[in-house]
Amino acid sequence: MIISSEQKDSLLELINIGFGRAAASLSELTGQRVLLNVPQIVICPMEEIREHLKDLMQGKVATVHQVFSGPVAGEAILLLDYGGAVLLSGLLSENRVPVDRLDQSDQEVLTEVGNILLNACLGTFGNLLDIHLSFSLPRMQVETLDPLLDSFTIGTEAVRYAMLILTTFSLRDSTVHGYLILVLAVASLDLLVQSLERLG
Amino acid sequence: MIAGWELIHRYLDDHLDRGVFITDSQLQIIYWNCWLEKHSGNQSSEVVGQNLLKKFPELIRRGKDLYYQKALAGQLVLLAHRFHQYLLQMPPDIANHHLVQMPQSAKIVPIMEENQVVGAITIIDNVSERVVREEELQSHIKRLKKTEETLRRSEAYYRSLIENTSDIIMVIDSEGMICFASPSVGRVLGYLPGELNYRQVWELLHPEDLPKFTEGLHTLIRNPDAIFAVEARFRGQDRSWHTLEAIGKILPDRPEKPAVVINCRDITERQLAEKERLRIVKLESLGILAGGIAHDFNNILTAILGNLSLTGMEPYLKNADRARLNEAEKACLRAQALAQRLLTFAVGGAPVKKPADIAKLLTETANLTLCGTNIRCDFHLPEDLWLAKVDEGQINQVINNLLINAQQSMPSGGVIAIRAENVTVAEDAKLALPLGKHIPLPKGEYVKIMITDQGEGIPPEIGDKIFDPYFTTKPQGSGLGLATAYSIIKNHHGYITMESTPGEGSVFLIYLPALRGAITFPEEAPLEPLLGQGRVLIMDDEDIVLNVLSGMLHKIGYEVVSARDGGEAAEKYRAAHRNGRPFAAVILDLTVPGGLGGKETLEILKEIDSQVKVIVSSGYSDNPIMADYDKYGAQGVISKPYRLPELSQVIHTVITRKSK
Repeated sequence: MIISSEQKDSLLELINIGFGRAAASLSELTGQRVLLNVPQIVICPMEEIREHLKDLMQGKVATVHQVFSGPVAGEAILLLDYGGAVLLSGLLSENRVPVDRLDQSDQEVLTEVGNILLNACLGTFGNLLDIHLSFSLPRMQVETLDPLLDSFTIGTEAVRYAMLILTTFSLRDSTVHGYLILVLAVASLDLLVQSLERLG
Repeated sequence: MIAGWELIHRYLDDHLDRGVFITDSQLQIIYWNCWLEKHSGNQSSEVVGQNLLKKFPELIRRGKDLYYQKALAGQLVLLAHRFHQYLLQMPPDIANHHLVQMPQSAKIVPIMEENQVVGAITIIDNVSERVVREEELQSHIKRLKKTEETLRRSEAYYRSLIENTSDIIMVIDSEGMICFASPSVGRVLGYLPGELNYRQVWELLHPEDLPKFTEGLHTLIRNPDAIFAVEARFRGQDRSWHTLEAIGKILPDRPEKPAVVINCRDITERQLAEKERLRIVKLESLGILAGGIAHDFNNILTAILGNLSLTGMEPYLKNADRARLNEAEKACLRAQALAQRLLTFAVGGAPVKKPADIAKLLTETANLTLCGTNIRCDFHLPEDLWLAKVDEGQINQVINNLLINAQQSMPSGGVIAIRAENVTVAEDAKLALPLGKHIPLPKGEYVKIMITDQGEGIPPEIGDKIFDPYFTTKPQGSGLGLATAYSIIKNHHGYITMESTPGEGSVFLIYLPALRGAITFPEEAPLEPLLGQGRVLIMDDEDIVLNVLSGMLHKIGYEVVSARDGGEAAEKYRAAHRNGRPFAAVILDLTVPGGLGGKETLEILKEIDSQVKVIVSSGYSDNPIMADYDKYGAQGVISKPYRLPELSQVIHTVITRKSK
C-alpha cells in the first residue's frame, strides 16, 4: 500500500488537528501547558514495523492498548519507552518526588492520557469517514515490545498495516517522545486513504 | 430498557466491590448499586429516576459533566484519580487520615445499541488504600532524598575537610595495609592520590621506627582505649625521610575488621626549626659566655701586659731577659687575639671602625685563609684604591666567610679572583646591577670588592635566601656565615649582594663607603712610650688593672688617682675640680659590675666639667661606646689589653688635643 505525499500531508494535518484538541484536554486536566506534536507518520506492512522501532526493541516499554471496532477496525497502541513513561507521568503529576518506576497511579495517569490520544486520533478518522467506532477499555501494560508486535501478526491471515505516528509531548520545559501505532487491516487502511483522496 | 436487566442488577448488587450506576441517554439514573448506597449515603430509591447532574450538581461545578457528554457521544472515558481525585462526593472509609473525600478512579462506558448510544455505565473504584500507601511511599521517598542530600552534603563536607587538611589521614587495617590515604600524601610525601592504597604501611617506615609503630598499632587494636601517638620517619616518593607525628584511634563500629585511623603531621620543619632554635640558643649562650670570659680575660691580660711593659722598661735588664719578656708579651698578644675570636660569637657587634687599606686587608686575609688549600688567588687591586673606615676584625670575618664558601664550592681546586675598584654612586639607589637589579645605596663614593669563584654556582631559586639567617645548603652549616656578613656590611653602611650563573660560579659584591679627603691613619703605636705630665684619674673595678695602669702612668710621668667605680670617680673629679687641681684626663672602664659604669660616669663628669677629657676602655671591643666613643663625649678609646706605648700614645694625644 503506497500513499502519496499529498495524502500523507493531509493525514498529518488531520492528526495534528485531533492532537491539538487532545493537548487542550490534557492542559485543562493537568493545569499546565501541554503541547502535542506529530512530526512524522510512517505507514508500513506489519512485518516491517520492527525496523522502525528498533530503538525501542531493547528493554521495557509502557503501552496503552485499545481495540476499536466498527466499519474501520484494528488496534491502537500508545508506546513509550519505560523511562519516557516514568518521565511523562512525573511531568503530568503535581508535587511528586521523581522516582524511576511506575506505580499504579502512574499507570492510571498514562492510561487516561493514552485514552485521550487514541480517542482524538480515531475520533478524527471517524469524523472523516462519518462512521462510528467502538472502543474496548484501554489496557496499560509494561512489557517488552517483541511479544507485543508478535501478537499483531501471529494467527491472522489478513495482511495488516501499521500506521506509526511519532508523537512528541512537550511540557514543563521537557520533551517526551512516543509512538501512537494503529494496526489496520488493508481494507480499513484503504478506506481511510480513499477518504483522504476525497478530502484532497 | 436493557434486556436481562434483572439478572445483571442482582449480580452487580451482590458481587461488586465498587460503585456502579447506569444512566440513560438523558442522564436519568436508572440503576444505583448497593456499594454506592453504602458509601454515598444515597439510597437507590432516592436517586433512581433522577437526572444525574441535577442530583449531583457538583459534577457540573467541577466540570465533570463534560465527560458524560463525551460518553454520550460514544467515547469511552477514563478518570484517573491523580487528575480528578473523585467523581462523586463520598466520605473516606479510612480512619485517621487527612482525606476529605474518598479517592476514586472512574470509567464512563457508553452503552451502544445498533450504533446508537442509549446510556452510560459509570464504574467507580475506591482507591483510598492505594492512594494512602502511595502517599506514604512518597513521603518516605522525600525523607530518603532529604537524608541522602544531607548525607551527600555531609560526606562532601567531611571529604573536603580531609582533602584540604595539611595533615595526612590514613586508615590502616590490622595487617598494616593502607586502606585509605588522604590526598595530602601528595603535598607531604609526594605520592600520587591513591598510590599508597593497598600498600603495606611498613614499606614506608624507617626501619628504626618500625618496631615502635607496629607495637603502637597492635596495642591500639588489642585495646581500643589505648593511646597511639608515635613520631616516625616516612619515606617520601623521592626517597627522602619525613618525620611525621602520628596519632591514631580505632575506627568505630568495625569490630569484625578492626582498622585504625591515623592523623599524621609533618614535623620535619618543626624539628629543623627546633634544632635551629637550640643552635641559636647555644650560640647566644656561647656569645654571652665568650663575652664574659673575654672581659675578665682582657682585664687579666691588661695586668700581665702592663706589668710586662713596666718590667721591660727596667734599665738593668739583661738582653736575654728582655728577649724573654718580649716573648711573654707576644704570647699575651696572641691570647688577646684568641679572646677576640671568642668575641666573634657575639654576632652583630657594633664595628670599631678605623681607616683601613682594603687592598692590604684583602691580600692578608686571603693568603691566610687559603694557605695550604688547592685554591689559587688572583688579585686585581688598583694602587689608587680608596681607603675605607672599617672594623678590620669584622671585615676580615666577612672576607673569610666568603673565601671559605668559595673554596668549598670548588672541591677540586681552582682560582678565586679578588678584585676591588673605586665606584661613585651619582644618585641615591641608582647603581644598576646586571639582571635589572639596583643597589640600595645612597649617593657617594664606595670601594667595591668582588670575589669570584669557579664553583658550581647558586641556583636562582635560592639566590634570594642565602643571606637569610639560618639558611644553609651545607649539611653541617650553621646558616650564619652569610647572615653575619650581611649584618656586618650593613652596620658599615655598605651593601653585599651576589650574582651567580649555575655551573659557572658566583660573584659576591661588597660595597663599603670610601674614606676620602685628608686621612689620618691611627698612629702606629711608638716603640718607646711617650712621656707626659699632669693628673690622671683612673677608674676600674679590677685592682690588678688599677695597679698596673697606675704603675704604667707613673712610669711615663703622670700623677695618678684611682677609683673603683663611677661614684668614687665622680666624687674625686668633683673635689679636684673644686680645689683647683683638675685632672688632665680620666680613663674610665666601661663595665663595672654592681657599680656605676663608664657610660654613666662620663655623663656625670660632663655635668661637672664640660671640658673633661675622657678615655674609655673595655675588654669588650664590641661595646657600642667603644665604636663611637666620640658620639658619647669621650676623647679617646683604648681596648684592653694594651701595652705601655699604646697607652702613652692615647693619653698623650687626648691631653695635648685642644678642647672643642
